[in-house]
Amino acid sequence: MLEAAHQALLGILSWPAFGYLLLGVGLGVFFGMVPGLSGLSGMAILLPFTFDLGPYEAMALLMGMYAITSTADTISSVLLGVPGTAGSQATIMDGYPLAKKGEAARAFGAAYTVSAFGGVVGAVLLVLSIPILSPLVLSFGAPEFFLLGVLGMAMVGALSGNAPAKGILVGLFALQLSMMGYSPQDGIPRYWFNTPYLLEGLPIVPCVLGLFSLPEVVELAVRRGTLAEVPEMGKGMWDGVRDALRNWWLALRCAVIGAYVGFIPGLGASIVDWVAYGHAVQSNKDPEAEFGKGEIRGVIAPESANNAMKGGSLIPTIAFGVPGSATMAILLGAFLIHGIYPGPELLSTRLDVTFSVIWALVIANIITAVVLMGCTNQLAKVTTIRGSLIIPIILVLVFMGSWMATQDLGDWVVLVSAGALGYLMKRWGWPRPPIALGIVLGPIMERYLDIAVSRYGWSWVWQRPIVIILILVTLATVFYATRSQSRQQQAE
Amino acid sequence: MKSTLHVLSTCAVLVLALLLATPAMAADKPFYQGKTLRLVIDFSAGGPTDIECRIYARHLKKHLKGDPTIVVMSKPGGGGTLAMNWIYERARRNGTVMGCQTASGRYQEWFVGDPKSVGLRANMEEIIPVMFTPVVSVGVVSTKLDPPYKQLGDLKKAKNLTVGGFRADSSKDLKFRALFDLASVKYKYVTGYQGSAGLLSAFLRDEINYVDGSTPFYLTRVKPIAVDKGEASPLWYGSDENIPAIAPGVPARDFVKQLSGKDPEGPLWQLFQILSSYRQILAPPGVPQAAVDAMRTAFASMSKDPEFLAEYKKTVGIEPQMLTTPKGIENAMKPWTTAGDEMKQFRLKYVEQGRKQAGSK
Amino acid sequence: MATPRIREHYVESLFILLLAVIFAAAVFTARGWPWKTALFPMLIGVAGCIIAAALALWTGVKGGEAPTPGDTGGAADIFLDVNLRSGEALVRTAVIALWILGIIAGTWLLGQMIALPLFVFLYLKLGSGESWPISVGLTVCIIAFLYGVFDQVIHASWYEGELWRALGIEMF
Repeated sequence: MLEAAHQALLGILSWPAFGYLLLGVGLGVFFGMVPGLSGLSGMAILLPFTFDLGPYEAMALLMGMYAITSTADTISSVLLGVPGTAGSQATIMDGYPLAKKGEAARAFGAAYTVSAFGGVVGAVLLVLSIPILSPLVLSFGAPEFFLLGVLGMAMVGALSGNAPAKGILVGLFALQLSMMGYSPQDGIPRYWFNTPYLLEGLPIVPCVLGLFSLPEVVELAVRRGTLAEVPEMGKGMWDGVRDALRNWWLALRCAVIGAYVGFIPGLGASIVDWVAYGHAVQSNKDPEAEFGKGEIRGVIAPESANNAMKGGSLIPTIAFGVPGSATMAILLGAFLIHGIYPGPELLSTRLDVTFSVIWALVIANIITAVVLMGCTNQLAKVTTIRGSLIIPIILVLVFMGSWMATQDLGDWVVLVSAGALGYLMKRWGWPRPPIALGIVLGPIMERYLDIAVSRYGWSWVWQRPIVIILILVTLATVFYATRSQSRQQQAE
Repeated sequence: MKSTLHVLSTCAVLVLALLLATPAMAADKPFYQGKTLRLVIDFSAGGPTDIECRIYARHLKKHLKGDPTIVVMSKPGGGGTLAMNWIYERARRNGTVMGCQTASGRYQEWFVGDPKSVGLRANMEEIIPVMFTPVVSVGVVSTKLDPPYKQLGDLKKAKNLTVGGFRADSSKDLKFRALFDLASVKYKYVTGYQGSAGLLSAFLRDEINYVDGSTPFYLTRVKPIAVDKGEASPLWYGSDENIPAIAPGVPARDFVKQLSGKDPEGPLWQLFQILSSYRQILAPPGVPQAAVDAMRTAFASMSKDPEFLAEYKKTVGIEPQMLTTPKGIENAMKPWTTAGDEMKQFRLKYVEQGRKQAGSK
Repeated sequence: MATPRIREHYVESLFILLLAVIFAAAVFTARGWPWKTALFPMLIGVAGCIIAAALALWTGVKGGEAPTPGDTGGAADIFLDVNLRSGEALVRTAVIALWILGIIAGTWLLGQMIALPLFVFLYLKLGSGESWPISVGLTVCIIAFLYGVFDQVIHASWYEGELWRALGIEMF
C-alpha cells in the first residue's frame, strides 16, 4: 500500500502530470467562480482531452479541476451573493453580509484556509474509510435513503431560520413544486399546466439563482452605492486565517460531515453545505454569534464541508462503480476509457491509480488556497466598485448560468419567478434555503419512497433499525428547533 | 477608479486573446467543412449511451470529411423522450445537429405503443435514421438466492428472486419480463430505479437480486465487482451468437429453451424480438441528404478503423455491427414497422399487467 | 431602519393561506392518479395543508409572528436593509425589475448574443450615466465573455430571436 502511495506521488509530481494538475487547478478556479458553470461542466468539457493522456496525467487534470471548484466558488458567493456552484449556497448566508461589512478579505482568508483543510481531511478519510465504508454504504437501502432526505429537509427547514414552522412549510411547498412533470413510476404528467417546459420538472440552477441572487441585485440597485456598505475595509485576510485556526474544531467536524455526507449517492453533493451550516448553527454556544449577519463560522462550516465532500463522493465511484452524481459518472467514464475498472481492481492491482486521485486532491487543494490567498486583496476591492458597474455583470452571469439548465427561455421565466418569490420571502423573513433543497431532494425522495414501498411494503417503517434511528433524529431536530425558538421568544 | 481601469485593461487583453484563438472559418467543398456538428445524447453523462457516443464523437472527426468541430451535448430526461422531442421540434434542420441516442424505445413506443402516454411528440416516421449499431444486453443474477444459485436450473427453484427495473412501460423491463415469463420463472418485480447506477447499487445491497444492462455495463462494472468474486452469475444475453466473454450466460433463445424445455414462440417471443435495442445516429426531418450521406460514409469508414475498433472492443466488449446503408437500417426497423395493431394491443396489455405486478395499480 | 410592517403582515397571512390552498389543490388534482403516482403528492400535500392551516390560524390568533424591525427573519437569511416605504425606493425597485424583464423580452426578440450586450450598454450609458469608455469597454468584455466562453468553449445553443426567425435570417 505504501509503495503504491509513493509511486502515485512520484507519478503526480513528475513533469507532464504536474503541469496538467496546475492546468486543472486554473480551469477549476474558472469553473468554480462563474455561476452556472461547475465541476460538472468542467468534467464534461475536459473529458475528451484526457483520451490521449496517460492515467496519471488524466487524473491530475480532472481531479485538479474537480477538487477545487468548491474553493473558487466562494469568490462569487462572497463578493456577489451569487453561489458559484451548488456546493457554496450556504456560504452566501454569512459570506455576503461579511462583504457588505467590508470584510470580504476576512471571509476569503477563512474560507480558503478551511477549504484546503477540508479537502485534505476528505482525502485522508477517503483512504482510511474504503475498507470500513463498504459494508456501511451497503446497509443503506431505499428506505434509509428516503429518510436521509427527510432528515435533510427537517434540518434545513427547522434550523435555517428562527421560525421552524415556516421553514418546514416552505420545504414542503418546494417538495410539491418538485413534482411537476412526469411521475417517475408511471410516466404520468403532473402539475404541468399544459406547459411542455414543465414536463421535465423545475430546473434547479435557475431556481437557486433566482431565489438568492436576484433579490440582492434588486437591493443593490435600490440602495445604489457599492457592494460594501461601509466606506473603509474592515478586518483583512489574516484575520480570517486566524478565525479559521481558532475554529479548527468546527472545521474538522464539518470536514468529517462533508466527507461522510458526500459519499451518499445522489444526495451528498447537494445538501452537504446546508447540513454543515445547520450543524454550525445548532452547535453554536456563543450568545453573541449572529448567523446570517456576517458570522465567520457561517463561512467556515460550509466551506470546510464542501471540499471534504469531494473526497467522500469518490468512495462509491471507486469502490462500487456507482457514481453518486453526474460529475462522478463522467469521472467513471474517464476510468473506463483508460481501461481502469472500478471495484476490487482499483483497491488492489491498480491501487496506484486510486492514490494518484487522492494525491491530486490533496495537492490541488493546497495550491489553490495559497494562490487564491495571494490575490485576495485584489479581489476584495471588487466590493468597492460602484454598484452600477457590478449590476449588469451579475445579471449577465445569473442569466447565462440559468440558461445552461435546459437552454430554453423557460429557464429565464423560472429564474425571474423564483426571484420574485425570493424577494418576497426575504422581505418577510421567510427562510429560503428549504426551497432550494426541496427542489433538489424532491425527486430523489419520491423515487426512494416508491422503491421502499414496492420492495418492502410498509414494514420497513418499524422493521429496519437504521430507519428507526433516522426517524428519531429527525424528530429530535424538529423538537430542538421548536424549543429553542420558544425559549428565544420568552427571553424577549 | 484605478481598480476599474485595471479590470477593464485585463478584460481587453482577454478579448484579444480570445479573438486570436478563434480559428478562421471558411466555407468550401465537403458538407461539414468549417461547421460544428452537435451530437445530442439522450441519456445522462457517464452512462452506456454516453460512453459509446463519446467514442464515436472522438473518432468521427478523423473520418468525417471537412474536419468539423464535433460537440457532444447531453439532454437526458423522460427515458430519452426529452431529447427525441427536442431534436424533432427544436433542433436546426441543416445537418449541424443530430442525435446520438438509444432511441429504439421511442421507435417501439411509436409503432407498437402509445406515444402520447409517454409524451413522445416526435413523429418517428419522419426522423431520418442515419446509423444503427445493435446493443447486446446481459442479464445477471445474484448467487445469494434462496436456495443459492449455482446453475440455470436453480432459477426456477428460487423463492426470493427480486427483479429491478425502471418503469413498466420501458423496453428494458418488458424484455426481461417477457423472457422470464417465457421460461416460467417466478419473480417479484420492483420498479422505480434510475439508470444503471441505481440498479447496480440496489443489486449490491441485495435489495434486488437480478439486474441487466448492455455489455459495457456488464463487462466493466458488474463483472469485476460481483461476477468475478463469485457473488453473481450471467444468465442470458440478447444475441443469437455465442459470446465467450459472457459465459456461463447463454443466448436468450437457449435460456428459454433450457428452462422451459421448448423453443420460444408465440406473441411474447415476438415481443421480445421487437424490443431489440440500438445505438443510433438520428437526424431531424428535412436535413440535407448530403449531410446524411457524409455521416454514413464516415461511419462506414470508421467501422474499419483498427484504432476505433480496438477502443470500442475494450469498452463495449463486442465488435460493432454498424448498419450504415438504408437497406440494413430498414431491415433492423422491420420488426417495429411490420408489427401491426394486434401486437400493439398485446404490448399495451402486457405493460398494464406489469404495472399491476409492480404494485402500481 | 425602524419601519413598522403593519399592512404587510396581512399580506403575509394571505400568503400562508394561499400556500394552504395550493396544497389542497395539489391533493385534489392527485385523486385520480394510480396510487404510486399519487402517493408522494398526497403525503406532502396533506402534511403541507395541515401545517399551513395551523400556521395561518396561529398567526391570526397571535397577531402574527411578523419579524420585528431589524430581525433577520431567520439566522440563515440575509437581512433586507432597504427602506421601501419611501416612494423613491419603490420607483427604483420597479426600474430594476423592468430592466430584468427587458432582458427576457430583448432575448425573445433578438437572441441573447445581441440582447445581453445591448442591455449592458444601455444600462451603463442610459441607466447609470456612465462615461463612454466605460460603457463601451464593459460591453466589449461581455461580448467577448459570451462568445469566448459560452459559444466557443461550452457550445451553448443560443436563442435565435423571433425577429430574425420571422425575417428568415440565420443569425446564430
